[in-house]
Amino acid sequence: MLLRKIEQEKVFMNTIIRITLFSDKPTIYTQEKIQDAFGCFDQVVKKYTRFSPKSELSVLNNSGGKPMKVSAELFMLIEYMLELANQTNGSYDPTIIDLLETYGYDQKSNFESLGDPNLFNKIQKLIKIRPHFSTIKLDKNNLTIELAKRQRLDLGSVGKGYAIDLAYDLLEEFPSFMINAGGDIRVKGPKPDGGVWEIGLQRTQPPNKRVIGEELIGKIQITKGSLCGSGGWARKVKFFHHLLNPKTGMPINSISQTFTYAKTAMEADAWATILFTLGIKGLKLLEEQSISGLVVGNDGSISYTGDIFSKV
Amino acid sequence: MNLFLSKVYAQVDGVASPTIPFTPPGSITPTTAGPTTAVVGPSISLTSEETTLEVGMTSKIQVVIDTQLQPISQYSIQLLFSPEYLRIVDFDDSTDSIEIDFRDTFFDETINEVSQQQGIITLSAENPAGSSSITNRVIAEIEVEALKAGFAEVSIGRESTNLLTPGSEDILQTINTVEFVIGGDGQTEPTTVVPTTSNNPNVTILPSSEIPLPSRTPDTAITDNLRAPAALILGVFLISMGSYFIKLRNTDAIKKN
Repeated sequence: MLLRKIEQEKVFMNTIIRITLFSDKPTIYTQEKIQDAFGCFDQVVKKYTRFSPKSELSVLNNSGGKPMKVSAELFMLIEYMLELANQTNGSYDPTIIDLLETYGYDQKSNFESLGDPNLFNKIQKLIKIRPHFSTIKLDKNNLTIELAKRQRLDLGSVGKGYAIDLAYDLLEEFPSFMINAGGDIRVKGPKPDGGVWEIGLQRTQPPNKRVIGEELIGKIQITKGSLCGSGGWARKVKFFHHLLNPKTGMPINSISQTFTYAKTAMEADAWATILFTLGIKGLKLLEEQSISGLVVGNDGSISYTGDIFSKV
Repeated sequence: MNLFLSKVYAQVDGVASPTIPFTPPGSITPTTAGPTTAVVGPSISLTSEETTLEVGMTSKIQVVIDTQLQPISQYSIQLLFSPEYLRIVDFDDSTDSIEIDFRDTFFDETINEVSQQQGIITLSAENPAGSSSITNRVIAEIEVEALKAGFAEVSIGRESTNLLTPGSEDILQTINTVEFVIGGDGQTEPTTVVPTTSNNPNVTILPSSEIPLPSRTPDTAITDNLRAPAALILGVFLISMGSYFIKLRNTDAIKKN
């Protein structure tokens, strides 16, 4: 059967989403399905952005101190993030918005506070008084979530991956496709000629190192699963980047970047962040989860777990 | 974009890259996997093995000039650092002034000055006898000591920095900055305080930052409050007056007798 290659891209989540798909179905039908898949990204942003006071997440974030009934979908996402926070003993923490905003990582994003001589002291004070993620109360039977006062959640580490998975489910009737959300990727099936999807791993500027041109660390070949990356120094502002150590409030600079390969994009997305917070010692935890991971050190050295990265 | 990189990226179906969160703040240019800041042209780079320091720790920063095969006859470099957070360790104790370690054996040093107060390092060098040469090496090393917990950087002051060709053309195109996160002396990871909850629905336990501060400091000494010494003086006065009247009454009684 002749399969037509259709490729489309749109901007959502401040990222270019590209869908490359081989279709055995009518063109108009395929185009509509691709548009529906793009819509998944739009829906996830509308429901779960913390920058709109009307989003379900914002309403929850403003309900501190009282239990609030949420949708089954949001409950599942928050339950998943808190499970990860427990598994990593708090090295991963979805409640660090207050810390990020102290650095200026808010809607205005002008980062004026980076020049504040008291910034370090403010961070240290906040660390001492902020509520611990373990105080969040989940009631699965009633689908209620109770945050402590002034405690807020952010889906930044799973939101994009989750949207990719929703789009994947919508397109699953097609035999072969790739969804690439600005570098977070999920593929289905080999290409029609039986070939693999070849994915390059982008190298970013390591911290405090000689200026280099960007290049590929290597390539991996996949026919299923999801590959995601994390690296604070890729888009930092002065000394700040968004991957903080929740226990100290400081940006994590011990490694340069991470990549993870998992069954779903939500898993790969979240674990790429977790691996960045844990560094090389996090590879053991990934092994226990049957997730592959690669860590690029500040000196360019590579450590990994899982066969998929063995040929990088 | 570098043509070589374009070719490399064209050879793959997709490029996985570190991404930003799904709803990043502010207006950020849409990102896509692929080269975004391919660097070309002569550069002055600062490099350091450390990114995190503790107060009292030292770190070495190397200054690298890469002229990308173009010959230069002289260069000037101005480095700016945070004097509140970093101290430049003097490479040469035998002189009164503070200097950094100049390592360029192909050029003669003309200025090597550090102003710790202003946070400025000035380094200039020229090729002997006016000749020119291609440079791709470490030309200086700076040792810094962390003075205070916080965030510090060492950057290049572009306006006072140049790589000059024999024709006095500045060919410098790329510079960078090194940043340090400085933790406290022997700082341990702080314990996160888990807020307690109250069984009494009428009582709200506020986080410590929400507890209202007293409107004035407690009276801990006589001098804290003038009413206290005034009351004391009044008391002494009344006792004295009482004693006086008792004495007066007794005197009157004696006289009557």
